[in-house]
Amino acid sequence: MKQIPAIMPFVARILAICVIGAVLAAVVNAVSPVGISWLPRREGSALTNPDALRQVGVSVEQAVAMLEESQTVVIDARSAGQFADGHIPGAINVCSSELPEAAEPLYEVLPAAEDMGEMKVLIYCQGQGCIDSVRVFDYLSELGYGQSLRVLTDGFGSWRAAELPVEEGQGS
Amino acid sequence: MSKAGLLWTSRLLRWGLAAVFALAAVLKVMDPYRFAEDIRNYLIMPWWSLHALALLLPWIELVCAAALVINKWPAEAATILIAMLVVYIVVLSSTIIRGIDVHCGCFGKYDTSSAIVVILRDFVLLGMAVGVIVVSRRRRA
Repeated sequence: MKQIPAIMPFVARILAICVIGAVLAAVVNAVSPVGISWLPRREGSALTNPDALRQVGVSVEQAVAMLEESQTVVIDARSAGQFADGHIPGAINVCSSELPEAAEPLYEVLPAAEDMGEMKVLIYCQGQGCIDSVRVFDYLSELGYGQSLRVLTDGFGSWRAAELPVEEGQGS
Repeated sequence: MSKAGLLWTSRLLRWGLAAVFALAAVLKVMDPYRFAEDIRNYLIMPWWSLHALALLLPWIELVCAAALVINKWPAEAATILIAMLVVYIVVLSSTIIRGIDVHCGCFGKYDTSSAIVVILRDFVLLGMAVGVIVVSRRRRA
């Protein structure tokens, strides 16, 4: 029985460490440019609902058909360096880690979400399971573009592997 | 072991453990969204907990690392890290059993080690954390 009171300060100090961590997390997250909400969205979020991403995933063949058949804005969600090394011709670089500023060039070509009609947005990053597409997908989905979004499932690697045209440089 | 031996064993264990967890924590703090996705990929945690865990875990690791460096509540910090490491080992082992190929997320995007390597690394860290508790008790005795 004597051991129970003895362990209480130990447990209290463990809780104190956790509370200090939580307070620091809250403060830093509130001011951080990469801060995220404590409770994620469920609807239309590829992060919390992998089905959302699965439903909009397209293969290289489907992406090519999309580009030929419908008006499609292509978004390269990778870094500027990767974009310069090679990207899908006509793609706009929206570096996912620099959102929301990186999305500004998009607003020049994308109509308002409700005016998208049949227009599509194809997002890609480096390879299968890369997170940059997920980030841009969630960002645009939150702005209401969810219905128009498609994600190249196997990323730019599959585009290159299919020996499709690649543009180099920073683009227009 | 002599007093000086215990002192230096304690320092090396605390500093080594702190360095690893501080580095891991800072990399995750710099990109909580990526860490949230890494947690999601384990297919264990409910969706509503992903962001909160991605925000909390690195900061608790960082506070533990700081506690170990300044030698304030080292046993408590080591106990938290032991609990975390046990959970990580169990979760990683479950990915092998379930046949899921996941990115560990331990050191942000820089960690591409396989689950087996990460589990072995976690066991080494677990040993160090237990060592911190044992040595700190001996020094107090």
